[in-house]
Amino acid sequence: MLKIADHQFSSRLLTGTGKFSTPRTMLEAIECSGSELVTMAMKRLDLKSGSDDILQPLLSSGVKLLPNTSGARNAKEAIFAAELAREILDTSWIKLEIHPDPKYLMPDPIETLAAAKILCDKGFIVLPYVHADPVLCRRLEEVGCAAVMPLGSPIGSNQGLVTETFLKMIIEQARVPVIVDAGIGAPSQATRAMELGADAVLVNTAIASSRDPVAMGRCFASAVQTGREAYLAGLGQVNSVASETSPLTGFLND
Amino acid sequence: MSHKIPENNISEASIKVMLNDELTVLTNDLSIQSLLLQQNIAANSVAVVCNGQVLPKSRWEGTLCRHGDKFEVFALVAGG
Repeated sequence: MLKIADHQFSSRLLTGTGKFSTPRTMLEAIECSGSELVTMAMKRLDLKSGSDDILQPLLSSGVKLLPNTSGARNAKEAIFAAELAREILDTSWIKLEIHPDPKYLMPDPIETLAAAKILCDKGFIVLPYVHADPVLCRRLEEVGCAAVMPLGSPIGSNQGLVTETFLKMIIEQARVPVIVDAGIGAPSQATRAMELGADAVLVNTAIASSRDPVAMGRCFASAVQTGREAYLAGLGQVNSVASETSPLTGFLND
Repeated sequence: MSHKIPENNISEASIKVMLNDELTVLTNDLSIQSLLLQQNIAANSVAVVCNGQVLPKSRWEGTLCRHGDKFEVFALVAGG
């Protein structure tokens, strides 16, 4: 079981709700993924077109919703977004993300740490999205974050675990769950993250932008489970030279 | 359908507020709760900010819109 704050999840796959072609596909893909913690963003309501109308079906589906602060450019805006989300969902859980740069969407570490401290002090359950920086993850843990969410590669890029070396360090050091977020583009990459010992992964674009998001949701469910089981089973050591798996002597009485 | 009416038709019993940056004319003594209803906004899925401050749901019924108020309504949308 994955435990974040005081909440237990049987699935280690978190999913996002963005970029799906239709709400129906999104709901079905999430259901097939088995994900129990699902992210949403916040926006000023367009009074002409109304809301997406995906909130109620998601709530009815029984998943726990994790609002994010996407769009916030600094700590002040992120704290404001967290307060709005708490008001709407009556939840103190918040995925803290502050990425002022629209090209690479790199998270701002200074604003994120500042916001995390204030939000934790206010009683929020804070899950910060950060670069795969072991020092920053440690600092976020120290201010009370319930988990850390280091990136594999830029959001939506499907590049996979570009930051693998640093993810390993974070996983080794963390005393809170490590959720690899952003950039996971294929089930094999989710498996890899889980094999490394990540507690969970968050996947959105890879599922939403595939030809068959519902099938891809299922693929990620089994990929995450396989990776977790492999981690628990313990991967064999990587060696730079060969190590025989068959006897090398005794063939034809050599 | 729309309650927004041209400026020259505004009666004395009307007030002007900004609602998500749009000038909106309302009748007097309208609560926040009634404002949302009038605008067909699903009250259970939004947060309301009044003059820069989050206005908790518990106060929507008892808070009246005042002339010059600036309201912002936020909702959850799809995102990762």
